[in-house]
Amino acid sequence: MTSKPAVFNAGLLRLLAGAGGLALIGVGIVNLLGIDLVNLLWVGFWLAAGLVLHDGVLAPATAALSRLAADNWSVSRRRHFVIALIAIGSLTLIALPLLGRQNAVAGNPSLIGRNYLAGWAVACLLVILGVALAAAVGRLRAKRRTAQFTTPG
Amino acid sequence: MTSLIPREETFTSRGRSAPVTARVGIGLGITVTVCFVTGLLSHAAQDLVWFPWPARPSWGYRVTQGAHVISGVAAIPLLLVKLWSVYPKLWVRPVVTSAVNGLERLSIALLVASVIFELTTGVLNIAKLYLWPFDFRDAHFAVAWVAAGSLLLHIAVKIPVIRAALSGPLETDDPFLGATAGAHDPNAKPVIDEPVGTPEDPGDASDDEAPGQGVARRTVLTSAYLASGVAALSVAGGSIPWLSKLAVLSPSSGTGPQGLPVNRTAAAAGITDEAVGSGFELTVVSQTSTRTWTLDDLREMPQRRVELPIACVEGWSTSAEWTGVRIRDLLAAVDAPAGSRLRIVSLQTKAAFGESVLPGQHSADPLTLLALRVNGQELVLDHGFPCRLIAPSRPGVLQTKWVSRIEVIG
Repeated sequence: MTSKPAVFNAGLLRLLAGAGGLALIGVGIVNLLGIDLVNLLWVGFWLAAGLVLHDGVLAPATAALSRLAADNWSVSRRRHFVIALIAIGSLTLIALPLLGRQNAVAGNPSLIGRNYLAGWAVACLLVILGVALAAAVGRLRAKRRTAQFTTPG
Repeated sequence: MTSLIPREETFTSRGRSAPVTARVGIGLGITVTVCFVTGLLSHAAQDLVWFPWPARPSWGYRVTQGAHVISGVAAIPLLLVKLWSVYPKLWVRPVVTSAVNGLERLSIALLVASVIFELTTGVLNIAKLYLWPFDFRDAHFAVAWVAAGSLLLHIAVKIPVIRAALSGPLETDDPFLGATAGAHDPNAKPVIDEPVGTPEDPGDASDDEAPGQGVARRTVLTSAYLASGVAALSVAGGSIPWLSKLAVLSPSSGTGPQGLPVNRTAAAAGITDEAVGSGFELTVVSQTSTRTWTLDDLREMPQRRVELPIACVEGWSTSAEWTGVRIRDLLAAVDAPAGSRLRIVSLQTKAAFGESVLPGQHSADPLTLLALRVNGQELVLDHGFPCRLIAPSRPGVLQTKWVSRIEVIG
């Protein structure tokens, strides 16, 4: 008796969420149609380019890196590699439009005024140091654990 | 030839599984929602649509737009990991099993494309790098609706899997939720990412990494959220002053003349020395009266001092101490009621935002000034000399500089 209303509510919730999603997409399409044709085609190009670059370049490259790591490193090393890869990879993608562009806005050092190359390098270095520290602590703990189990008595 | 094309089962990493996807999806859902809602609020504040954007709290726009940029950047690692976890599904065979399945796959393509578009154009916009001919605001706004709608639709479709994945343990071997086909078929060839592993090569695995199971899902999940935090930290200092030194990827250097960054310089706006010279006059026009003031006249009016932030649409913000004449005092001088809707006109001859509309709730606010000084000094030309608008909780592009005329329009 009690499960039926729950199932009904879950189904209704899905239906409402689905309808809401379609409505929001509709608002987006109406707004897109307000853009002139040439620019709309450029928007379409950028939409497709993001998808293709991710699915055709970034994702296979990540899989290949994982394969390379798996062939050469232990699980423990790969664990630290994964942590560093995700953090450094993300930071690099975010930094890409800024790298080498310090003072790119002519006559206005307030904007794009930092040394982004140095900032990015330091951030990546801190990530690597953090991961290395975590690895060292992990190894130390593992050694202590092993010593505990092997100590007689 | 066909062997070069991967199949779902060639991706064998244990992390590529519904429990990881669903758990990363929570963070991604939250960051995308915050980004979408704050983006809409920014649209409302800039274009004065949908509802009267409030003047209080005075830090309102600073917080919403800071949250917009920070949440967008924080979403990037989460999106990358989520896409990684479901990537094998791209290569599932047959490609489409039914019309409904085809529509679902199409909606996923729309979701991925639109979210990548939003995050990419957003990051490029804050970096002031425009690699497209279309208007950033129009396209970013329109595609945001598509992204939010696709996300909601995707959640509606996937609710059963999400519920099952979140209610079970992270390291489950349930074939409905577990790693993709390769994990269930260790003999699948060719394996092109982290293999399932073998009991003979357990490495020095953690408690979550049983022999033969590769890197634990917990590691992938923790990495995604750690990376999200690091990414957020790299820009957050643009709007959170005490994090400024850590904001290595913030578009604003956090400083400028008189301790305040400049978004558009006088040169970029086409302001000439002549236009702001000794002949400068401010004109205020109401339905019944018109008055002009020289700069010296303005200096002789009662001066107010307020602490208000400049909050840029690119997410950075800085507080400053402003001194000047209250807008409502100027309105009283032309017999216009406090709370009148105003058009603020600049002397600028180049670039956008040469004039702005100041809604009644802002013109009535005692914190809204026609500022003559900032941080104890007369405004420099790049900050809007001889006078500029400064109002609470208002997008930086609408804090009109080099003001020469104020018109009562309602």
